[in-house]
Amino acid sequence: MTEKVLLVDDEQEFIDTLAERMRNRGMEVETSTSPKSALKLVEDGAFDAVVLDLQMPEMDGLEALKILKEKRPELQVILLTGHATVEKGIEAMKLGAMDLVEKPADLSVLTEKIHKAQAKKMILVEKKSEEKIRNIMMSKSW
Amino acid sequence: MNTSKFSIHAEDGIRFFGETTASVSHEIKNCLAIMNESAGLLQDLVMLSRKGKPLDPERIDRIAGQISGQIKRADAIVKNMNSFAHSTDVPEKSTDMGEILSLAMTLAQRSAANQGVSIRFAPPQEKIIAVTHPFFLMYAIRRCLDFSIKTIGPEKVVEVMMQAGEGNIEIVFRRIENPDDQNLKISFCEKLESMLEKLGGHLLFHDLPKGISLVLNRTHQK
Repeated sequence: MTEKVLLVDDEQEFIDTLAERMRNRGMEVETSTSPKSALKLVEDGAFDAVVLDLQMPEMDGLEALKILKEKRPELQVILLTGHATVEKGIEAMKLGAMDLVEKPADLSVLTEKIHKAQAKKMILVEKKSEEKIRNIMMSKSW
Repeated sequence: MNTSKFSIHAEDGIRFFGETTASVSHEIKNCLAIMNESAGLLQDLVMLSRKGKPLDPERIDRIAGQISGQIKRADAIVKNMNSFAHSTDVPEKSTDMGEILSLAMTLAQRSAANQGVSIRFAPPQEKIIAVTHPFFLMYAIRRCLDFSIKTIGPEKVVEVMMQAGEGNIEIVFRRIENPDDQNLKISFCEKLESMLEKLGGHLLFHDLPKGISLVLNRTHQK
């Protein structure tokens, strides 16, 4: 199944090139250089994974991560960073990031993480649906 | 300078060095990331051509241009980093003040942008030369800029300019909304006190238009 990915980074050349390479590998990719418009895209589209830069002018990556997870708890976020400090990594994980990848990223590593993100998201969505069905069943007196 | 003042000064000086080098290394990593993806894209295109998809020379040319553009960008970043590192070489030297201010602004650009602030910097029309300690001067400039960013107005723009007067050089930071925040002001002044002593300078707080000035005594030489 095709993975649907959103790339968010303020470096236009970086996301354009990375997106093209990911599309060459069969992924469906949308891009945004602005965290604020990325939040809007997430509201409108069902992404399997969001690859998010940790440092952006408009909004800190961790702040964006927090809002993304509030909006879509099942969303899998992979953070990209120039250089990850241990503290930032821990903070990101606490906020619900799936993983942290250092720039320059190895595309095969990133692709593998996106596969995992898709699988993880599917499990979460299935669980949510099961729960929903169970609640409906419990609320009806059949 | 007493021991506790020296300790604040040394700690914050090291912090400034760390902040600057961390920001520069992030920028270099961004250049490397683009070069990495561009090289990867070239490999992808070669692989596709082996499978029968013809190579488009224009496309290859554009990707090569992208790589050389990033090499130029990284080179400029490293040159600035090198000038910054060498600013600690000697205690005091005859310095092009406009050049130092320009370097300090360039190095602070990313940090300001990350806080949603843009810097409008106009270099001085004429060369302004003075004997000073370039590293300490950049430190003082950066802390003035940090204070300006913390007290910025809704436009989120700091205007920075340098002017030479009779016996002094003034670096002005404008468009600050609330420089009268007492807590910020006290900690800012305390942080810079001993450094300004060393540089032979003082701070001025303006009301109309709101802003601050870092004033350096031109005749101050050790």
